Amino acid sequence: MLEFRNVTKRFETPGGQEVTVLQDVSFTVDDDEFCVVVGPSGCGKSTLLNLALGLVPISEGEIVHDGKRVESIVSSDVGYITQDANLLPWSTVLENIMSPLEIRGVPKTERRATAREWAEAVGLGKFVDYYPGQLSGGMQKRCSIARTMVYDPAMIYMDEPFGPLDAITRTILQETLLNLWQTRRKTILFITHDLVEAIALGDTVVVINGQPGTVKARIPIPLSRPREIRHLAASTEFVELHTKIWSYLEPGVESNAGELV
Amino acid sequence: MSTRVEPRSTTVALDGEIVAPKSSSKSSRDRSWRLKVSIGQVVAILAMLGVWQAISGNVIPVYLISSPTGVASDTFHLIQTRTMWQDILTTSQELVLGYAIGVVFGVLVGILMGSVKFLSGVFEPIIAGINGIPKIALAPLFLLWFGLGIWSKVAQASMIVFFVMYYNVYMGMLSISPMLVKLFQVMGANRGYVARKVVLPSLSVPIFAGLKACVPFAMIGVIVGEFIAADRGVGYFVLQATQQFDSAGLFSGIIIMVAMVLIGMRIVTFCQNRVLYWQKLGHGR
Repeated sequence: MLEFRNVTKRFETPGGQEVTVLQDVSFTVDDDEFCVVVGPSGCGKSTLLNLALGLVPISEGEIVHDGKRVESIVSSDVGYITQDANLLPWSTVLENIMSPLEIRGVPKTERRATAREWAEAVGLGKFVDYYPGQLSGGMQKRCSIARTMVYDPAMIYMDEPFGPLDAITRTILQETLLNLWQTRRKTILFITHDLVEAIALGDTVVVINGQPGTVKARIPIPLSRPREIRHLAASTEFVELHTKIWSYLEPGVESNAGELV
Repeated sequence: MSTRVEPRSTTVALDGEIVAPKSSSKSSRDRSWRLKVSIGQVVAILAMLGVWQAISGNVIPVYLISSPTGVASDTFHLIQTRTMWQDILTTSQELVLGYAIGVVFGVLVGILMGSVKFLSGVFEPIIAGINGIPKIALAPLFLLWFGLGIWSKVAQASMIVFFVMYYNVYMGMLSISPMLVKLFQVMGANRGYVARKVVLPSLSVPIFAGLKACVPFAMIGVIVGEFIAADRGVGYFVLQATQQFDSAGLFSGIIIMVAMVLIGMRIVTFCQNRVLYWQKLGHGR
């Protein structure tokens, strides 16, 4: 379980001024929950992830992950998938997927076999010997997903992972991700600015808006699973959720109008 | 931590395409393009040599610019003499030693300054200040310190090489993606792993850029050293030829220097192609 308790983050600008990015953010991500944080750019949602991973220090409040306070870089049993694939350009697809296993001291033959399975699972089976520079953006993203899944972390943080991709590739990858998640349940904290993506993927959508960013609403998504993302937008349930979440994203909306936070 | 997991194969359509293998029509177009360029180069060089030959002795006296045929026969004659090979050997020694020492120290100091913020804070302005010295002005000092032999030339060359290498590596350290490093830390990598698998490979690009740039720089250092005071070496030979108004000998010496630099560059390029194989495959992202 991941808990944000009254988290506030302030940055000092190069000019010496203090800017509050996040104000008093509290919410909980349950085990095996797919939690999506949605908000416009500049609302501090990526900062939220960096705080949870211990990459930047918290100004006030605390983040507790499985009963432990986050104080430095979290590196046990968590995965991190970023906007850029961040693969090693000098290593092949297989070597990239193997690297977390190498870090964990898994014997060579075993890590080779496991990495190969995951390359297959994300559809890169034929490309294990390719270098990242030879792959399309979508394929690089697949590789980075495999590199995270291969060491089976209990919790995965995703920071707008499908942001730079075209709409078709994005939908296909969202479906891939959901399929993988359905077979291997994990806790996921997923950051996006794309409302459709948030509703399509999440069990819960946390809306963050404003400057400084505050939690406007925590909305459960009751859509049944497995979901067919490409047909989702047509359903009335989806449209209702979309309208509802939008209402919290309008500029100048005052905090949580009766929604449970 | 369990690592052996059984992913259920999901059916996924592959998006995008890989960089298409070069088709035969493209490679034949490539070849005819390269042929055209080569022919153009040969024509340009022949034209320049022709002009040189034509004005030599007619417009400008031979003792000032020699002539292509004069230089060719002189070079041909020179490389069959023992003394020229001794000069080449001496200059090569100075070149290789100066280059190697400058490169090693440049890389080490660059990595150190790039990884310890306090050190770079203290020493960056100092190094920048020292780099402001026109290094050639130090040649007489090196002569005093290291004597008439090869070591004053080695010092001169390594001094120039060091700064080029240092700045390449230091800038390389600063441009390593912090995101990539953080990602590997979250993945559980310790400092050693990050250094071996992320930092060093990232540095290979600026290191090779520096290695290439430094070959002619090392030659400048060596030749300046030999001009100041020496009793052998290609630079010494060129100086002698100049003093005797032997312009053919002077140009021959320069041709030999250029050949040495080009051989050095070939060696670096050969190594680069083996280490940076991944760079040629497609483009970044």
